[in-house]
Amino acid sequence: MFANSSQHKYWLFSGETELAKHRAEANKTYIEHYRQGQTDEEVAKFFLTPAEERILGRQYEVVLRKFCSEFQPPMPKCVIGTSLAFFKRFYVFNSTMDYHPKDIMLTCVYLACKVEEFYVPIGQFVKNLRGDREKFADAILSFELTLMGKLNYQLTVHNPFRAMEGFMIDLKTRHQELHNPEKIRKYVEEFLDRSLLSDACLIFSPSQIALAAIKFGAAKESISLDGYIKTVVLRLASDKEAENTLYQLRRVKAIVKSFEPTTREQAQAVQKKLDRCRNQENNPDSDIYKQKAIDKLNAEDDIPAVKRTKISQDNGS
Amino acid sequence: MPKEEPTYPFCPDETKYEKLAKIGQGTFGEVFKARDKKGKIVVAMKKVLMENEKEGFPITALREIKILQVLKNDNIVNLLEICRAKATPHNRYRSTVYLVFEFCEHDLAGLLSNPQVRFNLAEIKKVMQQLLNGLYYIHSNKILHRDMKAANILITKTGKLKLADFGLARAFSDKLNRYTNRVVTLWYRPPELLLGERNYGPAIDLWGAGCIMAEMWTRSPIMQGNTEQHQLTLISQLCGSITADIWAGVDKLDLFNKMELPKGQKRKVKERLHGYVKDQYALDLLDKLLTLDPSRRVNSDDALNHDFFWVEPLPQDLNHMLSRHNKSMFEYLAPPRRRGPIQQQQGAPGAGPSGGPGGQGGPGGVRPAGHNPDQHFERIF
Repeated sequence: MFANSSQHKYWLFSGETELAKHRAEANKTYIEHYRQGQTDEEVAKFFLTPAEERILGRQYEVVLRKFCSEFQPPMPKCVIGTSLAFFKRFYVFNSTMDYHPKDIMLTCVYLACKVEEFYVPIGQFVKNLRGDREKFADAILSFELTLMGKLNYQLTVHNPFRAMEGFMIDLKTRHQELHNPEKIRKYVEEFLDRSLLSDACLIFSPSQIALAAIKFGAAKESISLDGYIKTVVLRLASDKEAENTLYQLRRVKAIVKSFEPTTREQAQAVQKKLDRCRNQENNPDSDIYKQKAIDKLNAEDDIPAVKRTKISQDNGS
Repeated sequence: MPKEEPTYPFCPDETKYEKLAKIGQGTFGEVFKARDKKGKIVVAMKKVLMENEKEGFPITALREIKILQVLKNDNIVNLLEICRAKATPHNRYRSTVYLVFEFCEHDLAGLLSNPQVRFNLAEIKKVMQQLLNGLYYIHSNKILHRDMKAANILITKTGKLKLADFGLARAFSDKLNRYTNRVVTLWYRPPELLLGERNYGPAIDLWGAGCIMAEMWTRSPIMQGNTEQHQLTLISQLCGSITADIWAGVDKLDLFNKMELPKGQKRKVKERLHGYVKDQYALDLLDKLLTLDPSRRVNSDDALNHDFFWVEPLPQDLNHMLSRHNKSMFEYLAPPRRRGPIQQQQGAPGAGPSGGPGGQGGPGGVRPAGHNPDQHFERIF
């Protein structure tokens, strides 16, 4: 149930202001760690600003959604929703400079496939990517535990799709004035798809997002569902609760509509900067990362050796 | 300048706990008794094995985490937190994840293997009532346990029963499904799984509950097959021949024609268990739990309403009886049970579902033997 879920308890924030505050803190923590006596001016030139981090984050959300929609075999909507929710949750408390969104993005999708019982083996998963597939697979697997840890192992995501289907059924049974609710479906789904690229899932409950989608989807067909919402959905609510719900629906709309796609030039400039200021320890292409992997392999090679010494000692005694 | 180790505020370091002893072998790793260094709370830590995992974090462990975060009930083992051991040269750069549970002193298999532990009828009722209550709760939450057996039933020193080891558990729906049938330890596996059913439901756990209930008197698993074929033979000898007359549609199951099913066997559940179980209500409930046709097998709600629980002697708390025993009893630590033939372990599917969950289920992974190899059971049937 959503009401006692970890999503309700830990992953809903009051609004954009609070989200911006957490993201700015993650940005600041990273910079303080690596500035090594650089002046503020140098810092601004070298490191990403919170605004630049947002450009990057938003751009990768678009890339993520595109990757999912072209994925073979075709994935259910809840996998896309959960992937994006993981991605957004991750970057509330982490800087894109610390973990590159291209690595985290793929790991989010891979983990969401498992969590949503749409299991795709890693070999088949990376066939959806162009380039060195083995390298992609290694990166995904090496970031999986980090991602799970940063998500506090709270992996159940409640998406708005089920709530939306519930409202569609409810419209058919309790609001028969609307003769054919299916005619608004297209617009409702469009609204939900757009909501995936906004911070809506970090601020509102899935049912609020779904109800907003129904209301504003219907409006596109010039149908007002205000009567249904006031007299059916909110029948038992007090005036104050009803007023607040309607206010929240307007907020959902505003946040979903406020999404602005980033331009190619904007993103490229930020990417360039990121290549220099990112944490090389978390960069699978860096020397320091590769050295760590080699150390790990060597350490694994040591195990049989240790065992063998032990056995020969035992034999000797 | 290397950055200091990342911190996980919600995911404490494993060094927070001090391991005391190994107490078991779970579905996907070892289980340790441990103590919280600060609070001095005793916990059970289940290690998630990441070795040999080409697919990253095992999907079975992921399901167990997801499921246990939702299930909160007196009769379900309580997951306290998840903690992670950092990748350091000390652990050969392997990052390990532990599930941390509240500690329970005993498991049912351990208790039953100790002849000093005696359950009276009222206490057996309490065990079964709590067990069925746990099943009722998970089934209402649309979860199948899929690994019912005495070793997965934990009992605290005050006599509270907890269903444990959700390593094979998964969510189910009422739609047509295709789950793997390679689940449930062979001796507790219901006939529909043995015949290849992939669209199964909560009834599979109630068969296991029936096997466990009988074991409360027999003190050993009642049907110890060596192979799937052998298990079906044992089931037919106890529950009668498996035919389309008593189980509509059984002939449509994949393996119905591939397995040898003894013909002309009469159902003898009550007769054969009568040697151990004298109570008529108990025999009647056993008969309903060990029903061949899963669609007619009693569900947990109806089982809880059975007269067995509502006539004298009424269910009685176990804390008094258990207070006489101050040593932890786990199957893993139990000395071999007396007599009895040696079970084949290696290769024989008797020890657990060979290969673990496959199919749409997940990466599989090697499932450790369900029973202590030194553990011998007295044959019942």
